[in-house]
Amino acid sequence: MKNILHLVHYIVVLFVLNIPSIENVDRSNFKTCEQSGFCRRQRKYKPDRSSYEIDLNTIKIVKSGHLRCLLLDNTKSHVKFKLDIFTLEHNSLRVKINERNPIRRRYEVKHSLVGEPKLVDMNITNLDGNQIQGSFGKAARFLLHVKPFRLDLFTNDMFVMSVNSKHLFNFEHYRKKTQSNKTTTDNDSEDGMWEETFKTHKDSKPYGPSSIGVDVNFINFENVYGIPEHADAFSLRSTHDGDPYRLYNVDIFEYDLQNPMALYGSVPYMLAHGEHATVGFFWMNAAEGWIDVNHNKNLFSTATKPITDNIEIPEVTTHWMFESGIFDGFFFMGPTPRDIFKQYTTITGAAPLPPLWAIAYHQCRWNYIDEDDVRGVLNGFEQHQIPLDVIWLDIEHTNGKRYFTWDLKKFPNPEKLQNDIAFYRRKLVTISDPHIKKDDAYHIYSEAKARGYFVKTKDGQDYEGSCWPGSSMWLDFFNPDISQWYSQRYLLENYKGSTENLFLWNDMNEPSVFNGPEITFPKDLVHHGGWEDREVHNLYGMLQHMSTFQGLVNRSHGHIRPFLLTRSFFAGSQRTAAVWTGDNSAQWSHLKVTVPMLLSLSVTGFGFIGADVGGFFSNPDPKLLVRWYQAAAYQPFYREHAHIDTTRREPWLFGNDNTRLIRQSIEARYTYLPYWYTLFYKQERQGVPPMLPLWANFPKDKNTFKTEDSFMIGNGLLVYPVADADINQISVYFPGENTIWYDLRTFNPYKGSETVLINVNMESIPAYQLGGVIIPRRLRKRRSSMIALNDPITLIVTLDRYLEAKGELYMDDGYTYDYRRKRQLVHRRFIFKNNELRSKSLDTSSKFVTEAWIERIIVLGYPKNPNKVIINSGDKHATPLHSYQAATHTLVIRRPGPLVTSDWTLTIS
Amino acid sequence: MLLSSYITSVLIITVFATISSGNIELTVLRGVPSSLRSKYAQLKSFACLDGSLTIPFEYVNDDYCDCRDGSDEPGTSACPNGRFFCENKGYIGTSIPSHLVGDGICDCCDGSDEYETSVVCNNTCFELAQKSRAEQEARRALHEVGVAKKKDIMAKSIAAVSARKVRLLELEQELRTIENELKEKEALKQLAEAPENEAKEKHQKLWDEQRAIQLQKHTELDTDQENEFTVEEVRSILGADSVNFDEFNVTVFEQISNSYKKLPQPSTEAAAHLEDVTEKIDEALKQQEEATTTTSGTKGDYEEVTDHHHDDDSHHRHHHEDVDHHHHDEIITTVATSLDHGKHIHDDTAPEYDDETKKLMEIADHARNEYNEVERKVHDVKRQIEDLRKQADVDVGPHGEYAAFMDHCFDYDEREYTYRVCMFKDAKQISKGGGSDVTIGYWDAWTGPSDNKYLKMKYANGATCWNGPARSLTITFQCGVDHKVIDVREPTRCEYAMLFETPSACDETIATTIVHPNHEEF
Repeated sequence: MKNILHLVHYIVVLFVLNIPSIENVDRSNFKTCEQSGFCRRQRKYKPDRSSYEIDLNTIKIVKSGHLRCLLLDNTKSHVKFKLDIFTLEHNSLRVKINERNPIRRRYEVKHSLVGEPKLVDMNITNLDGNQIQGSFGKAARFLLHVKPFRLDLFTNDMFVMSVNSKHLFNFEHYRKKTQSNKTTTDNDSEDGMWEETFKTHKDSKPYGPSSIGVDVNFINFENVYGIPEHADAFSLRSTHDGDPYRLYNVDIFEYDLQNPMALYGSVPYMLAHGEHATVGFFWMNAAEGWIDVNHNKNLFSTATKPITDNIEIPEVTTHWMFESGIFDGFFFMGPTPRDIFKQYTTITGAAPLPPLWAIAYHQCRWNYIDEDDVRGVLNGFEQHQIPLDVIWLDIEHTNGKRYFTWDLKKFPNPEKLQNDIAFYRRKLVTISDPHIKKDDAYHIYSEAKARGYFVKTKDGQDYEGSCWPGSSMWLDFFNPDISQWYSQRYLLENYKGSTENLFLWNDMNEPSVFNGPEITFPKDLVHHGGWEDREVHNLYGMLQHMSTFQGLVNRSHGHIRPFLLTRSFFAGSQRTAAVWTGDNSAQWSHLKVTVPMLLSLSVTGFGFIGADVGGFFSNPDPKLLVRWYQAAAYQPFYREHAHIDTTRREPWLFGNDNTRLIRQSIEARYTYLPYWYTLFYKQERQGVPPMLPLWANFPKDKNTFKTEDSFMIGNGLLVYPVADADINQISVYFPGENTIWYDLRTFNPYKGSETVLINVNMESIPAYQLGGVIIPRRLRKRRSSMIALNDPITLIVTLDRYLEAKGELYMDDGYTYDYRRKRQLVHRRFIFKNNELRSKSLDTSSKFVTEAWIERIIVLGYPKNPNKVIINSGDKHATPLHSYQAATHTLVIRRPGPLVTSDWTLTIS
Repeated sequence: MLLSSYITSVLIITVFATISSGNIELTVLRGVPSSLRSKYAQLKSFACLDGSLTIPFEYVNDDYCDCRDGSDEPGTSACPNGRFFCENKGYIGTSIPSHLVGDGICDCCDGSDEYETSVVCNNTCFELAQKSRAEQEARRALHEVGVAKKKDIMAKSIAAVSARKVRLLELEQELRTIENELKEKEALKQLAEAPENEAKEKHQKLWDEQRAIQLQKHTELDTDQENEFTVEEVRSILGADSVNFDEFNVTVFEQISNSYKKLPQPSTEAAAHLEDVTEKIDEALKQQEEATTTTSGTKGDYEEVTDHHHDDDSHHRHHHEDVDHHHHDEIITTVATSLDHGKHIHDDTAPEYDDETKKLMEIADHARNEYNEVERKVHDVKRQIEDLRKQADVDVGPHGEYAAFMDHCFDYDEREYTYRVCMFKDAKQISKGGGSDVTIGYWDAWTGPSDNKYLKMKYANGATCWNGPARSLTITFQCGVDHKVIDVREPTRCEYAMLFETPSACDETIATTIVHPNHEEF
């Protein structure tokens, strides 16, 4: 039996691993809405008029900023719901709807919240017997309709969102299983309530139906975004002719593009953006979810703001369906993109500043075979003078996929290896997946087994499934004791062979179960607290990486910033992990889709994100590989990674010319690290992700609302990846009215709101700096980022039409928490105005000392050759040399010389 | 964007408006090798080595990159593409990328690249030189031992090549001779087979006649007197409705067969004929014997080839065909099909040849055997010639350096597998866990770089990987005292790499370059 089992596992492993690469995902392994009972029921639910009503008599203010009332279903008198409205700081509103007395407690997600949301006062006016109005925040307002229940939301007096205006609110209360329920079977419209079979897997559904559906409609918007993770368009498509977008963390093998299938992570957060406003809706629910999107035009009228008849207003109607949990909706009222970023990250937390080296270049492969191989690859980077910061080890480095162990035949001295890597201030990342090999001789397994730390079946047995190591079990991270115990496995004394120079990668944490339904946990598994996987599924990956993160923080007693990459994620994951888009393919279409996929993650709080350079599956054409290196050099997380069946892909294996082009791309990345690092710091402080859709910077430019062939880094760089094999021209749209864009290869300026055909060759991809921006760069080369910490800075100043520009520079030691704890940071603001460039501190309490100085200032768009340039810093004066190129209006100031940390003024006359 | 091109794109267009004569100190010409010192003469100006720009001399090594080629900053890290020269006194002067200057890592053994940082670099040039000399000497010694062995291999290879040539000539000569012999044996065989066939035919004819007579005698079976058995006849013989073959065989056919056991008598004519044949063959044999005394003897290591087709059972078949003739009834067809195979007919039912025929057959058999024996010799010699020619075609190096590999296999034991390469033939991965062997490649070609083709060899077109390419193996050779596999790995799925030590890869130049304790180079 054992052998047969092993064989089965082996076959399953082969199957999952080795489907021929030309074939994409086997869609039949994953449910359609029709095959998911609750989705089928909710999607069918289309009453003419909602049966839900507010009981006016029950309305009360619980406390300032918290209104409560009962919600009734006039078709089921015995079921009552409680509705809570909370007005929150930063123009946000939270609405919770739960059963008043459920026969089974319903799951409420807490892990997504960075803290308890802060309430602000609401001003209630009972307009008439059918409407209650509440004002809050910055010109935000809600209007609660009583009969039927409906919630309208206004920002700056603009009607922006409406809940249940399509009458789709439908709350499946918990019920007892009766004989009539039992006989309600297959052909009935209420099917799939008590049992469901998918392929060979039976979902026992012991608690019956519990799903919730609701329509949330974005009024006067034509574009909605977010709800990652899907390999689909950035501006979400209408789903009326297919399946809804699905949110269910699964391990999809070779995912298809342009479809709404679920992928590795889920963030149930959607944004709408129009010329007038940006708003957002986040339903904090970790169960399986489906979301229909439809673009409509509608005639609207509300009591407070009637819209003139005969004017059709665009509207995006969305229908959200979750299998379980409660309705816990956050409404972000904007009204600007930056407000929205702040509002969402106030609730779920902002991605923290990563270590500097983590935003540099990473080299990964499944697998670098042994220590010699690793050293050989590191040598290759030295020999070919390609900067590198991190080298990675995939699953084969372990002893038989037992995480926290080493294959000592291949890695006999991991500490020595890490120390050698650290010699050039580089790092090592190892993988640690959540499946634990079933092997009594494996210390992690035996201890977890003895303590009862594994996820249980519905019958209370330890759940056993198969993954890389064969028969495996999964830790129940929902138990805080288990999470803590797991985090302790990362301490240096527990993770033998690890050093402080080793960081982590959590993969397969959807979790991936090769023989499970939809390659994951059965829904009737039981986690700590008695919660079914059905109720909490999408949290599993996040709980693992949160625990890993805590372990890494504790490892250095809170001194060193961790780095951690995860494949699975949920709302809030951004606080502790970087995310990549999983197992993509070496195809041009996959390079192209990196932009919409990463933008979808960006706008939903994930700043530290990337896609495998070159594509994980199969072998990229060298041209594709070069183009990918060029595009990803401008994306937040920059890692080359490849499947074990691919040919080797180190940058120097494709001929001298391609080596040169790849080196150039990586070098370009390193020159921008001061800018990237500043943006990541801004993200920690303000929630603005470093990679942005064009509309985030140009919210009124309608031409950018569907843009997904280009993106911005911060507010200064516009990037157009080349994602076609044989093109020598690319159509570039320069966003914004009255803007100027400078081509950084030629210094040619381009006018905003215009589309220009730009010639491209293999040397680079089009990238432009916006006039009005100052970008700090390091044009000197080093073998790794941490070595360059004290190297001088070049400021690239591109002037706008008023001959002004501004920018920022953030610096610290690059790897500790001293910037938070000891104010060891530099945060400068540069302002160019009236022929003066000033540097002043944005943080007067900062104390960081660095030798870094300003070695060069390049001003683009300066109208004439100046007579003289003077720099004043304190009581020191100097007259640095300058040169001027009239044809391109370029002024270069040679060795202005002040320390980055000092205040100075440069005067051009 | 390339860093250097970025800087240059600024600087190409640069014309400095003012040239400061301020407080720029003259810098030591750090990082400039002696060969280039003349270009860095401390004059008023400096011309970038690529000629792209002329700058005030003060700009050299002032920690700001002016030249597109980085030549103005040999001693700082200002240019991303500059070169820094480590003097490395006591060791070898080395040029390193200038971005390694001042990065906190000691790259030069004299530590000169870290002059400006707080890092303290120990001067390791002396130790390095010693170590390097020791390594060179060890390397030289290894090559010396190896070269001696290699010379032996080459000498043996030369001997083997000439031995092969001689052997080839011998074999070709032998082939010509035995091909002639074969012709003669063929003639003799034909001579002996003609009377044998004649006698056998005669015997056959008599037999047929006899049988016809016998069959006619069995009128009791052929009830309708049409010289054929019908279903009805068979049924009546067996006294049953169903026709059972076994029954028929036992009760009827055997009975008939027995009546044929009487042999035809030899005629006097035939006896005379036998004498004639024997005489002719003896004569031919004598002639042949005279001829064979001139040929060299061949190794008589032949297997006994047996001929199992001497017995001719066609008589019986004939009979059976008669039995099933014209009948299409299903049951009868079954009977006929079984009979047709003839397997139920015992040999002892066959009539014996008369003595004269037997004698003729014996003579013919002898002639055939002799012919076959020579034919085998021809085949064998041809094979030997082919093998030798194939061996001669294998490229074992211009001087036969790799000749010792010929017909040899080498193993490498790893945790899960044994790798076995049979040189110039194939390479296999043999599972230790009892799985089946996998061929990872067949001999393909020497694939070293153009200046050293014999550094690597490739075995290609092995078993195809699931969802991947055909397996292949590349062997890289390095000098060693014995032929030995040092390492096998699979850097890319299904592309194996073997490291192999052999004296054949040792280099005489290295072996004879004596390392002096105080070599000028240092």
